[in-house]
Amino acid sequence: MRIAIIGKSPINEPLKERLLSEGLTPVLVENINDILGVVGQKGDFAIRTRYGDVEAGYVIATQGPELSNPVPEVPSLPLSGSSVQNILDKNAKQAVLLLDYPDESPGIMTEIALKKAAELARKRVNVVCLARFIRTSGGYLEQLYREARHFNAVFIKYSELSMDCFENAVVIHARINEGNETISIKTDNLIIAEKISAGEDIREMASRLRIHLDDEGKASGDNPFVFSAMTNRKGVFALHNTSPGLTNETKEMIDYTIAAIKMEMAAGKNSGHAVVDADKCALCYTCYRVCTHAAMAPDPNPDRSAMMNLEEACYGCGICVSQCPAAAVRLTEAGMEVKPEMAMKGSLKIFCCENSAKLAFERAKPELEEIYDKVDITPVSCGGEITTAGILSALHRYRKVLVAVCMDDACKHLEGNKRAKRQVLKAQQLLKSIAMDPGRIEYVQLSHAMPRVMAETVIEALG
Amino acid sequence: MSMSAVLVIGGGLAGCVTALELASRGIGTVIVEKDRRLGGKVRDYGCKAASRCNQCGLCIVGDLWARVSEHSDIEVLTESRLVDLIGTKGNYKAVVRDKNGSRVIDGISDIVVSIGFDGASSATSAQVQYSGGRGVISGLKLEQLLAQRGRHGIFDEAPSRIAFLQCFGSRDIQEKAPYCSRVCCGYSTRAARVIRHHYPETEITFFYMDLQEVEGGTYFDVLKKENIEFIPCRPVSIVKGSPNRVLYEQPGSGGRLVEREFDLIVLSEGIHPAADSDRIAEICTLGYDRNGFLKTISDSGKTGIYLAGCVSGPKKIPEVYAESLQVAQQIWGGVR
Repeated sequence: MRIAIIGKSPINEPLKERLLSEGLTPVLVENINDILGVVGQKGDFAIRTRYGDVEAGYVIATQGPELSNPVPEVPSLPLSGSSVQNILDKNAKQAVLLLDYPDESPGIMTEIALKKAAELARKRVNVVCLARFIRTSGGYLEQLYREARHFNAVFIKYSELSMDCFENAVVIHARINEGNETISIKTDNLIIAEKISAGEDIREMASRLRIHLDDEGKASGDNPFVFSAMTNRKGVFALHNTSPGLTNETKEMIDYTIAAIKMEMAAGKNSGHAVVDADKCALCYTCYRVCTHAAMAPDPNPDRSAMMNLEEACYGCGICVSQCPAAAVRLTEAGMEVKPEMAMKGSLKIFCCENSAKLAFERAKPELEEIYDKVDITPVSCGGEITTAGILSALHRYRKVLVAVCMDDACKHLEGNKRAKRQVLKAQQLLKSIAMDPGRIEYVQLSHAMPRVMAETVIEALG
Repeated sequence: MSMSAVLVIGGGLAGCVTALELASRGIGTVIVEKDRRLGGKVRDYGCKAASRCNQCGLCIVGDLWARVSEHSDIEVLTESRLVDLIGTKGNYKAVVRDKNGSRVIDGISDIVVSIGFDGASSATSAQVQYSGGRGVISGLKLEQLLAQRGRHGIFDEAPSRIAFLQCFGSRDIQEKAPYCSRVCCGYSTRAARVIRHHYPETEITFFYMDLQEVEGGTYFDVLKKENIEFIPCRPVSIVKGSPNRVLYEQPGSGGRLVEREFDLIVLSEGIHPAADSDRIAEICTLGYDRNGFLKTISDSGKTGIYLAGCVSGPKKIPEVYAESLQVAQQIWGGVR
């Protein structure tokens, strides 16, 4: 299986070696500007470049960090950019490693600082490590910290800091002991942790690979807190601005990515996905635009002028179903629109996201026993599938409709909950405009672990 | 049962994720769970979303327990314990005991030890007392309160002053836990934000030594902006009474002791090795790390004995999840 590595990063080399050792074939496209786009789906991607297509089953986007000196006006050495040997060659007797100045240093700098502090201290350099946060709780870092301390490296936590520069030395004044004391340290070997920022190319990369970036410019996954190398596009992984070199953290990221690729390779065919009716499709590209998983593409068959669903890329969230102006998309697995309307059970219809509200409802069953007959619940694979039309048509049969979706920032499909909210507002406005009570539609956001919130909402909606 | 099954010891998050991942690849698993139900500690945890998701990781769990119990390739033995293990990789024989007696499970290819952890309960239990939003509670109890919260709040009666005592049972040599438990900063500050969301007037105070696992200095600023107070010290003691008081040394005062009243005191308890560790270590031939958590003493690929989850040290929910998937993948790679 060919795995494309896209982007320039110091981890490309070790990543290539790991892929080879796992029996996978790495293909490297370093210059993002050579890439026009990535089409296809997991297992079968084509990377369109200026020089022709490159085929690959999976894509790993690597984005090297851009390192910069956070305080260029002060003479210093860069922490990750200078080797211990360099400092030793200067016959240094003493060195100060400065972290978290002026802003907090990236987490990875702690590991680098601990390693360099230990190495220098071992060579009998007096090392002082100044930091606002010393985060050593990971097992491996704790060990490095102990090692550095063992060789008499000194760690000092400061709250504020200022520096005076002289010809060959810098004097650092640090507020320590929670701001109750000040110490001054003079050094001719000041080593400062660099600032790490996402490379300028990251936005280019994201748009060409159609992956989503968070506010910090990092690729964010569907479920951002599960596995940080996953992206919104199945089969595309992102190992972005992780670190200037190969650290333990990057090694773990590479391991996870390779494990994830192997699992994807072994996974069966995806059964829950969208289907486009080519006769109805107007090729308006709405689905292409709204799909958060890059699972919609124009059908390459010249006889059919229609969009098509990339089944292996699709999560079946239904956002395209609710947004298609021609009603040309449906889901293979029962959703809001395709499911034949259940017999009217009572007075409340609940449309709920199966990732959150449905599970909360199930957990709340004991509390809801008495009113169970009065509600009719339709789980949808994502709030994004809920439409104004669906809500309004439910109001023909039910006294009230409750739309229950995930909390803000928790949607697996990035914006299904926001879309649901918009549809609810639209439906409420329509009701208002024909002098009906907009309160007949209720909307709640919750998580699967809030059963009582769900129960109370349902009971309140029933009145 | 299929020819080569995998035995999973402990049906908490790590055990269930591993079992489900293996079963979804056609590898039969048997989960030995000491409790009456699957889920371990995570099952009691509450959502930490305030006005929006705070990314505590609990959403990954979802209906995991139901999916595990319903899977046809997973056999769940509840109220059961592993009592002996004989054999080598690819051909283990396990003796499992439940209230009806012992049974032998043959043809086990690999073993996943996922017995989880215990809270710092020995230290905690002596302190706790709670009724209606007043008293002293453990972090786990706060989780349970969060899990049961309704639309309008967490407590029967809103406490007006809450203290969090960080590093409770961690960073503590007397407790034989010199390490950082890595999860307490995260769960307690997130819980504090939920409390702030529901009770804008409540005073929230953290007594801390070192906030290790909050996501950086900016997060700390966010908390301070939400009017959460941070006092850098480890309190001397809790003085029981009504209300309870925290006795602590005023930072920067040169040792002046201060007593402060709180309606509710939360002990942000840490992660200790499971009580079962010694027994399981002996049965499965495992070693200990410097903090008393279990570690493998030879290559898992050769012995067929894998560790997943907090059995090998404190981990967060997403870390346990990722690690368990990896263990499943390694076993699956070997079995194939």
